[in-house]
Amino acid sequence: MSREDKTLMAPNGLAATFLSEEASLAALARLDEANVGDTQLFSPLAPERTPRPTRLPAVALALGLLGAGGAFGLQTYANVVAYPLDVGGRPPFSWPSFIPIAFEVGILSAVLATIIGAGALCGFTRYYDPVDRTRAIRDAMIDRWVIVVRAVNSDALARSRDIMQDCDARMIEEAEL
Amino acid sequence: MTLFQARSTLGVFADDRRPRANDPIVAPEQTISTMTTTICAPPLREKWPLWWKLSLAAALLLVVILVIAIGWLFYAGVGIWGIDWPVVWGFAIINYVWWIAIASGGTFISALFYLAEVEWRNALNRIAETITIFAAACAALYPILHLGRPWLFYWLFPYPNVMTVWPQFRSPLLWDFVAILAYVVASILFWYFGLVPDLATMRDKAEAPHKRRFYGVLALGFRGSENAWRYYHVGYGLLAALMAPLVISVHSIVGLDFAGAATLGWHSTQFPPFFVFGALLSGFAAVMLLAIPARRLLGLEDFITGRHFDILGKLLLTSSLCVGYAYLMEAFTTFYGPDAAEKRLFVDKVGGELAPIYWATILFNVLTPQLMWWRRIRLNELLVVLVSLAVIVGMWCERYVIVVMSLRRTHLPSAWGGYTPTIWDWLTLFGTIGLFIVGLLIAVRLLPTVSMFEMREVILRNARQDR
Repeated sequence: MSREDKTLMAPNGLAATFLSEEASLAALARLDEANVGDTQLFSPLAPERTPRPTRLPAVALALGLLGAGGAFGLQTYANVVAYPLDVGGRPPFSWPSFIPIAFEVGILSAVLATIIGAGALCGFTRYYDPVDRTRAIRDAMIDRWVIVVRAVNSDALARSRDIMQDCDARMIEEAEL
Repeated sequence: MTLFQARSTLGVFADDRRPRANDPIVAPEQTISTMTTTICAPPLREKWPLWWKLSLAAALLLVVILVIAIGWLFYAGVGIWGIDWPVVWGFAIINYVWWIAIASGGTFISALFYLAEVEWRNALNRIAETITIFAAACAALYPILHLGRPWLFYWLFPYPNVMTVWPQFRSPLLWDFVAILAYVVASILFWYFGLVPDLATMRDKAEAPHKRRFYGVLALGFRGSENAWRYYHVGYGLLAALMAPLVISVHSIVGLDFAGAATLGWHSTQFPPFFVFGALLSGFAAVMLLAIPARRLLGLEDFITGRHFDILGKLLLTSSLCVGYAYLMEAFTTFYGPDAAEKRLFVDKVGGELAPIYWATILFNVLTPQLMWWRRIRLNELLVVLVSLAVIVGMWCERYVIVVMSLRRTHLPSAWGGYTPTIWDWLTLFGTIGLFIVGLLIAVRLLPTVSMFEMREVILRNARQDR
């Protein structure tokens, strides 16, 4: 696409800022009801809406148990099979003494699984997103609630703007999203 | 003239910014906008005040001393230290246990109190976590330096090798290696994960392009979308739930380093909880000690208020009572048990050559914190600094008592010995203090000292309650 084509392209999206979570959630509900297109809320803190369940804790638990089991297995192999050493007449498979390391490795595995899993789900390292073209997004992590709409057509775009204005949006801007 | 009157006469902290009994958790006039601006201001300012530059210069000097001490150690070996048979664990282990206990306090505040959903931790958890990572880094140095041949530290890892030798997993010392490794890695990740939303705020707040780029890269593209927050919250909660047992296990294992040995004064089942109590005490003291200058120098009086001092003072007092109970039980079990050598060691501790260090431990860790029964003292910054400092020194003395006194008086009187730290022991200790301070100073220069996204939750919740 040439530069000329780009400039001629009509905006298909809208970004609006709100001063409170209540106002932004009210606007979001009306936008969803009006079926104007994809909507996204950006906010400086986690919204209080009921969180949907996620499998992340189960994944962390599974990988934590895997790490703990692996550490226990490695210790058993090392001290029973590969390098059995008589320490004060204790049996090579003195399993209670393998538990602390299994526990620590289990916790570390669960921590790594959580960081990688949550990071991937949160979109960490996604350094560019089309919403970055809006000015409003720069206030989302400071003190504003920002709604971004990718309207399905120009009519939906106009309706979105009306809804935003009705819901006390502070700044509304159009953008190509 | 009372101390309080003397303070006012001297003009020390005699201003409106001092903590008060009826302070809320956050000043009511603060909004999320003003809070964000206030907390972002110190790291975003172009020039820094003289106190920061002078402190950094002094701390860097100590780091240079540390580098020299370590360099000389690598060249000449552990013989430059005061350790010798029978006291083979000297400053390296004293300082290691001391630092790791200081580190643990940060995790207790940020993880345990997060799970308990207490609001006051939101102003302190960043300071606490920053203390954790730099104190843990200082702690982690010592066991490696203590190895004798530090360049072979990787032998502690279990890996297939041509010698067909594997680590001895039945030794608490190896448990400790794995525990510290897990703790350091997990603490750094927890700290960084907790910083990501605030780094995004810094990115969007910064004016200069190079700062926007710097914070932008560190913020990992976090924009605060509803989906991102959803998973972020779940992830943060999970990490807190994992860090809480981790920190308790780490300090229990440090206790087992000692309890696992058949050494007088060490071979006790109370050591793991005793070490956890000690970690709580020194951790709370470290947070209080550093929260006060941070509050004053970075203008955080509206966020670290009298309420925080009041709660931290009570926590310090509680953990001091727990430590006092452990000291009492140590005396009780010694004389309740049948071992004459244990009794002889205890008598040596309380009345022997090194008795002043034992009594300094009792004075600083048990008696001095009793001042915290009085709210007026809990709210007095100068006295809080002095009590916290006393506890930090007292905890170091406690480790000296545990390590040195037990090793110098073994079961066999013919094997008794002494211990005198050398200049290299002291320089290494002061060097790690410098390293810790450098870390903190760089952190406050570059990063927000208070967790902004968590403070927003407190401010909005309070605003809703007011409505």
